[in-house]
Amino acid sequence: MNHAWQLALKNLRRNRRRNVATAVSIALGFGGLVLIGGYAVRVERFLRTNTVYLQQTGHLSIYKEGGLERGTAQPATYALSAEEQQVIATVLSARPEVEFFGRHLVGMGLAGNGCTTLPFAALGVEPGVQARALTHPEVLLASPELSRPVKGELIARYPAVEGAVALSAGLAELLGKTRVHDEVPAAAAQAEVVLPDCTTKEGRGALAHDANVQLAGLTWSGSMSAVDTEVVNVFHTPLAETDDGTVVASLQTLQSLYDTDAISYLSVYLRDARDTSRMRGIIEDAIRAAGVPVRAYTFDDERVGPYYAGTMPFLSSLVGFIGLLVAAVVVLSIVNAMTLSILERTRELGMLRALGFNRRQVLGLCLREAALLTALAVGVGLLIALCVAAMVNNGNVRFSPPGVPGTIQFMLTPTPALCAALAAFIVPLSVAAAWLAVRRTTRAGIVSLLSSHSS
Amino acid sequence: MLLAITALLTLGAAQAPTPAASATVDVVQILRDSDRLRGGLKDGITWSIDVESTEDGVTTKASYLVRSRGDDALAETLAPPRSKGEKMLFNDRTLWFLKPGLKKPVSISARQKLSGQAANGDIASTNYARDYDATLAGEDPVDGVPCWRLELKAKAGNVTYDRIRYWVAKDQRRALKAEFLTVSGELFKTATFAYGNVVTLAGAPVDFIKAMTIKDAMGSGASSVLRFGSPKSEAHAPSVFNVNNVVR
Amino acid sequence: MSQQPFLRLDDVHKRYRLGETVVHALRGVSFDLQQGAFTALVGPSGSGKSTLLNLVGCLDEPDSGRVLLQGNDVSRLSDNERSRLRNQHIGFIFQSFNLVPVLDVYENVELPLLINPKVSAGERAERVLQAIRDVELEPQLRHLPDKLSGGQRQRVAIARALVTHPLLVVADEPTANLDSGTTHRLIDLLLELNDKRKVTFLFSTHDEKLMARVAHVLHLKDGALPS
Repeated sequence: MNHAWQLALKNLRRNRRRNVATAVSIALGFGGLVLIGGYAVRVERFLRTNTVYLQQTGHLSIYKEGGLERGTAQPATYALSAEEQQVIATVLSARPEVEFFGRHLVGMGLAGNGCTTLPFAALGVEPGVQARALTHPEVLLASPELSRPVKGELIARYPAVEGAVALSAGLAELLGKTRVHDEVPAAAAQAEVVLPDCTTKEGRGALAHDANVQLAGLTWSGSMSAVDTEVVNVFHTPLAETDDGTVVASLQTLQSLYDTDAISYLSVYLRDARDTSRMRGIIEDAIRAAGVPVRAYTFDDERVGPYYAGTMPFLSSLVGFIGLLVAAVVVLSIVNAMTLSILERTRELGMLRALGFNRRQVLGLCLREAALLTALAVGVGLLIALCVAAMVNNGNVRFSPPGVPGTIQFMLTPTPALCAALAAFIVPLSVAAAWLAVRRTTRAGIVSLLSSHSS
Repeated sequence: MLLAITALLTLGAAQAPTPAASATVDVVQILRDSDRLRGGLKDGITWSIDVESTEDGVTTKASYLVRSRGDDALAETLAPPRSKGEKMLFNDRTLWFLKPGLKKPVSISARQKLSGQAANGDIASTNYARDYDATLAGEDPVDGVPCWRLELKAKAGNVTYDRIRYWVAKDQRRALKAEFLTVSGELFKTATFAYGNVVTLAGAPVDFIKAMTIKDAMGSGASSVLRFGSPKSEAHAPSVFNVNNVVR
Repeated sequence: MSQQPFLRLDDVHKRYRLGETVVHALRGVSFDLQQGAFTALVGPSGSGKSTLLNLVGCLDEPDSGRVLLQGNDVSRLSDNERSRLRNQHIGFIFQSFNLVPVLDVYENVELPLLINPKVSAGERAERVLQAIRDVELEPQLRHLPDKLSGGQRQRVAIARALVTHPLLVVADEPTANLDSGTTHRLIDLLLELNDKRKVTFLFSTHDEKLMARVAHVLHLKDGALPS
């Protein structure tokens, strides 16, 4: 019934000032929702890419059964052997949903510079996989700041450097490694390494003459072990508390340190994050069916992605709360506007009924008005929100999120899906509010409508 | 393997025994004498130590050639083959780990723990006479051998075990058994000592430690046996234990 | 068809509540109207004229008695059926015109046809233009109601009432808000339409001059038609 829409549109022309005020409040409310939603989308994406790609948890982490809980204490028992890795790789390669996957070894030890040693937690990565994860489009979009090392290049860029490692910025500083491989003159790198005299200032200063760091640890059979490494880059860990003691090394380097060919877990990167929950069960079952008792964990599982799992409920409830407030404002403005508008037009509604409009048609007219008003307001609100977002994003406002070293850009990224979802929420909401406001009037008898003195 | 390290650390401690025995029981002297028989010789000692550790049903073995003097010790790994040539240098409470080809030695202070098992280090690293105040708690035979039972209390907070129960045989003052307690008083580990090596000290043969068995008392079933072979009293120059010399 | 009157009211009673008191607006009203009749309903204020027109126009239902339109009891119809009946067969003219202020003359007249699925778009346009021509408002086709005089507005209302080609037109004091010159021109127009289209007219009025021009007058007094 096109005429009903036209009539509704024409009806919006009356009492223009009130309708404009209502539209503005809806527009601002909707714009606010879009912006805060854009913020939530941004933070969620930041947290997700941090967890999935930067911490190399993957959308799914595959551990041997019990490995997540007891793998640190008993790595030899709960690691995935070379044969098991082969089986899992075969299963994963067959899944079209899987974009790529990587093998990881985690371990602890002491990092030394010849003077002092500091405890570290190490993540072993396949350099090619790491490079792929860190330069993933999702990462470049959500946290380009953290995708590049502070200094130097990713391990994958140094195939010729034996034992290439990356140190977290805090650890590098504590070890006096102010220069990475690229910044050390080749001559110095080749020179005979002398044990620095750590008691003198010069001796400590000499620590920066090379990018050489020793990693020591206990092999899985309990023997002391150590490897030479060359610091090729310094990075910020996604979490401040790990910035003073994190080492990222090639899987090969760590396997040599711990004298094993096993791994702690595999990270699985899906083409679409929305497949995560579904694929968890599918992949776990497929690998178990292939004979390897594994457990797959999703990145939002607090056991593998505690920061994501811990922050998202807070963010969601905050955004949800503000969203509710805004929705309440929208509902109230619509109820108010429609109530007044109906009061003014009671006799006109009676006239429409007299002309043969039935109750549903009269109600439909009112609801169409509300829907149109809201739709127009939503359009304006969207425009406002997109302008504000563009201004904020171009302004390169930076902030330091809690628990994250360095700053990230404050960005508002309302996605089309978000805007559509919010519009799909607000328009029916306001129609429902209008229904609330007019249903009593449209149910009234025609005679009482016509005898109303309001218009 | 840290078990081994810890065992080596035991070597670092002792002072030479004072010949003058007092009429009353001199507990400090008892500690010193027992430390000495566990390997703490004044001028130095050279011997081999085989370590057999069992954890989670897996047994690993390693052998070391150990030189020690006073607070310093240098252990060179003889086996397993993959570790051959690795050296551990103990300077007082600091451990240097050296490996052929490793550009710089790694220093590990006694306070840094590589894993839970590292706590074993403190069992042996403790120079009891230096680190603990001892009181005589009574007399208590071990396997029929009359012993003093000493209660050791840490002098400072930098040792892992706040308290040790320590059984020293009256005859020759050999330590036969030790129980290590956590600060909260729980029994954590037990150690038993066996003798039978002979070392000639000041021209006289002395019954010297031959084996040490450390058992976890917390129920994990982990245990380690350290076997000491061919001990030889040998005066080592201090330079032997200088890390710069060891590196070269 | 010829035996039964076009409209019959049979002992119709209607009460309504006005605050605390119950007003007995109609007390057993019975009368017949033949098709094409042009009838004035007169009586003092509060005599029940509006109540009677509401019942005849199917805007309300009697408490007792029957309203028969072409022999059919309209109180047996559902709300939707009555809506359809009003839309397709009954025209209304109100005292205060009741035009939609945001719609121009054409659109106001078009309004009742929009919800009549039997009328195609082409026929609708034709009928709307004809109705506007009938009331001589073609030059004001695209004027909004607030640009029209009172008489012009009531002519829009008449066009809106007739555009559906109703059998019955009910008008409640259609000339009350008009000056006497306008009133006479309007009555001429209604009479002409009645003559041309054979539309049955029933309208209430106070206007003596108007009564003089109507052949058939119903006098309502205290909710009854004293005969």
